[in-house]
Amino acid sequence: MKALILSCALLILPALALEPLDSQALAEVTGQGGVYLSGDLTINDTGGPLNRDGPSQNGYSWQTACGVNTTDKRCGGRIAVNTDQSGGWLVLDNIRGRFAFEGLTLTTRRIDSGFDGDGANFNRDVMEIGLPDQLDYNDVSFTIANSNAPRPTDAGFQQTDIMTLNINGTVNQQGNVLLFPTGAP
Amino acid sequence: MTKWLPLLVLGCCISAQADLVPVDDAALGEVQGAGLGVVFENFAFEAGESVSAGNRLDISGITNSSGQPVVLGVSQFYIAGSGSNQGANVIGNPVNLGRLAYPFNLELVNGDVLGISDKAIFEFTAPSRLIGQSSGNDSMLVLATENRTERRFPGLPVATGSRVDRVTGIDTSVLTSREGERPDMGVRFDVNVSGTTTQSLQSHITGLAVDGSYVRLWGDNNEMIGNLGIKAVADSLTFFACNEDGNNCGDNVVFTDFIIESELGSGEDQPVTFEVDASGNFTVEVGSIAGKSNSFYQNYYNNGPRTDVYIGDVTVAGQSFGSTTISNLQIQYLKATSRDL
Repeated sequence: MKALILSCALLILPALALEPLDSQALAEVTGQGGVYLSGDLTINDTGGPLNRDGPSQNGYSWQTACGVNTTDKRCGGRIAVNTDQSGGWLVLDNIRGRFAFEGLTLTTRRIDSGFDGDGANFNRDVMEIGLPDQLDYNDVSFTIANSNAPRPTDAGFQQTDIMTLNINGTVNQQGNVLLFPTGAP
Repeated sequence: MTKWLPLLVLGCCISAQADLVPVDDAALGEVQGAGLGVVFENFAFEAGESVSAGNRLDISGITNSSGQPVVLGVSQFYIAGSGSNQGANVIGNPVNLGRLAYPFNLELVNGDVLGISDKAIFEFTAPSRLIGQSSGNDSMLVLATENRTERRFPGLPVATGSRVDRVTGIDTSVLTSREGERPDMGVRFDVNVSGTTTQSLQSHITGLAVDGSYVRLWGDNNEMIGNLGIKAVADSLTFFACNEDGNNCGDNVVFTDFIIESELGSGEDQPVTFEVDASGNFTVEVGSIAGKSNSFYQNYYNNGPRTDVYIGDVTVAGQSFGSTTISNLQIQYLKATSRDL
């Protein structure tokens, strides 16, 4: 019988008018915040647009097969940065591989205690990035290089590869990265 | 409505004629945004561990003098709290890096504040330093000085000046990172030549703090220039080598109470550039201070960027070699260029 009355009450409730919340009441509302992310990112695993559609002038034949283990420069991503308008380029070349993580969290958090006494003085909100416990790399590689031109197709292209980093397997980590504004704008 | 009509028409005209105008350096130099503070809470990191399970972090592209390819396989890289026991205790042994009151900071700073006029400076800073109770400035080294009267150069007049005599103590009150906020860090390399692992090299740091370090970058004459400050202190640095399977390790080389305080570049007067030249070679340059005024030199020698290094004790296989000090090293010009071999 009790349940019947309750269900009747529930049926009546939707018929009631919605009341606007005033600012004070709204300020009391605390929502469930945060985002939980998992990701799986593969970059140029079997080559990119350059090895398929790239130009063939300057003696470069771009079309090539980009298997998992090839180190051909046309296969990976490339970031070239110029720090002097008349100079050459700092290059991250041949960026390839697969990168996966599970459990990256994004949330905001009020810190007003802890941190060996710093928290009480801080008393502000921070953006909290919860680091995933594990990052999985599968044949992730990139090359640090110097080049005289941004693209390998540019005339007179020369590049010195300094070193190549290959990452395979698991990276373990724990903790949060806290981000917050500092200084006076 | 009639009151607002002219205003509306005016508004339309303004928006129709407005163009984006490039902001010049002087105007951009006035920009001062809020910075972004970064703190790592309960942080620990470990890469490359358990190679047998297929984990690899390899650095390749190096050749030895015989032209054979050399691969440095990182079999462990870690950052953890104190008591990591050379990488044995990493996950579950976290550390806070940076404090809420003294975080790592990314900021666009008004150059006038840093003595670089009319420029907007991109600045990345580690937790800041305080004025030391015994050192009297932001250096950790407590120095004893002495007055010496001597010729500064053969054939030049005798002059009297103050010289650093020795380091008498380490002032930890300079650091804002507290004892529990100084991580352990280390790396184990396996050296692989032509597919054969020949040896394993290990280095481990305990009680590291980089308070006071900074990178400042800005643009001038169509190039990116900067100033660098590298300030690090570690309770100990340990190096040793083992055989290819990581066993039968040799004797330790240990640096205790290692301190480096190095500043490169002095505002616009001595810029530091990292760039690639037109032929594709990498160049690091610390600008020359030749041809400046006398007052510049007076100020540069007294307050300019300098490098101090102090190692409290060097021990090799348990045998103490005593302390080492490099003080007041000023780089007045440096240019290093890579060459393709």
